[in-house]
Amino acid sequence: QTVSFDPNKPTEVDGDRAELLGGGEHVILEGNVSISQPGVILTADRMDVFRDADGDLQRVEAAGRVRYAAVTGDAIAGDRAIYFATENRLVVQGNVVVLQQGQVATAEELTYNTETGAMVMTGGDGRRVRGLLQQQGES
Amino acid sequence: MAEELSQRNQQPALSDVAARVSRHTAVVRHLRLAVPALAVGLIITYALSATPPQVDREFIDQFAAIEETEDGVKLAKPRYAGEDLEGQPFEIAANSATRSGDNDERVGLELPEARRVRPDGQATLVRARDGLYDQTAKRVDLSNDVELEQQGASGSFILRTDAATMDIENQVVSSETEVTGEGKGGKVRADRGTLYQGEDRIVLEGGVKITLEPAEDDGEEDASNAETDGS
Repeated sequence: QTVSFDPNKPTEVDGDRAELLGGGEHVILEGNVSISQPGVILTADRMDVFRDADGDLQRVEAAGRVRYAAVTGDAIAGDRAIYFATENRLVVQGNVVVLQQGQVATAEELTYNTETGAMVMTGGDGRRVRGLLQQQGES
Repeated sequence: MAEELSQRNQQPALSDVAARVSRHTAVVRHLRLAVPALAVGLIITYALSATPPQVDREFIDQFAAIEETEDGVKLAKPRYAGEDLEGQPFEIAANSATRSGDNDERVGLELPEARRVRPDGQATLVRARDGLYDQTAKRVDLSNDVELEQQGASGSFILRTDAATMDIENQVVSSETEVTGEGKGGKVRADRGTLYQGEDRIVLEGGVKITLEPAEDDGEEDASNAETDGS
């Protein structure tokens, strides 16, 4: 089962403070920020949300204690993230920690397909990707 | 013949003084006619040039709408046009303006609307059912159905609140009560909001909740794609 952000569905955005620029095509949110759709959520200290002239979600840039979680059990943490809505692609950078189906991994950068759940992780300069994989049947 | 000439010559010549007196009298006689004529000419010239009829009628009509009421002077359909600190033109109009009898500096406005055209040609409007204009502070306190409308290329975005204050010079409107808003891209709500008209910027604070709604046609586009795939 996969759950993903669908830019064609309503998206809830919450925060302590918001600044709407250019008639709302660029929204800066600060303080306990979250962006969510049923079954999936992205939180951070600050987000910049970009939409096109029609109001469609294009890109979200998140910074500060970035957390992503989905009801499928996937969970990601990192320092910064960019979500490309039209490509269903979430790129997380800086102290990345991933939890997927009971397996944990750390890396410097992660590219995650929010539709299929596919992940590509890189260690970054001189660092390695590390993971803790569970045997089948172990729990 | 020569005798006649000599007799005329022998009439006593006017003395110098008498000659000067008679000349003076002639000058005075002329002036007595010329000065009044000159004055009348000046008055006619002034009357023709100084009062273009079209401005006067409009000016007089404005005064026709002024009415003395118990609590002060009331003006119907007032319109105030000015420039903010950045030299951008703006306009404030109202259904009526009532200057209160006890405080000259405060003017009550009924259905006030402020309008400002941004450099991109789009307009920002602020309107309410009631307003109180403080001339000294250059501020309008708005109340009851306050609306801040930001027109844009993709439609209007409207914020609503119960009470707000408009700083005319800085063109900043800040609400003191909850704001809710909607536009083409979705809805918003917050504890309070501030509209910076000059910068096309809105700041929302306190429990901000924004619902981003995709453009309608997206849904149809998907549906039609699905059909073509199916057929």
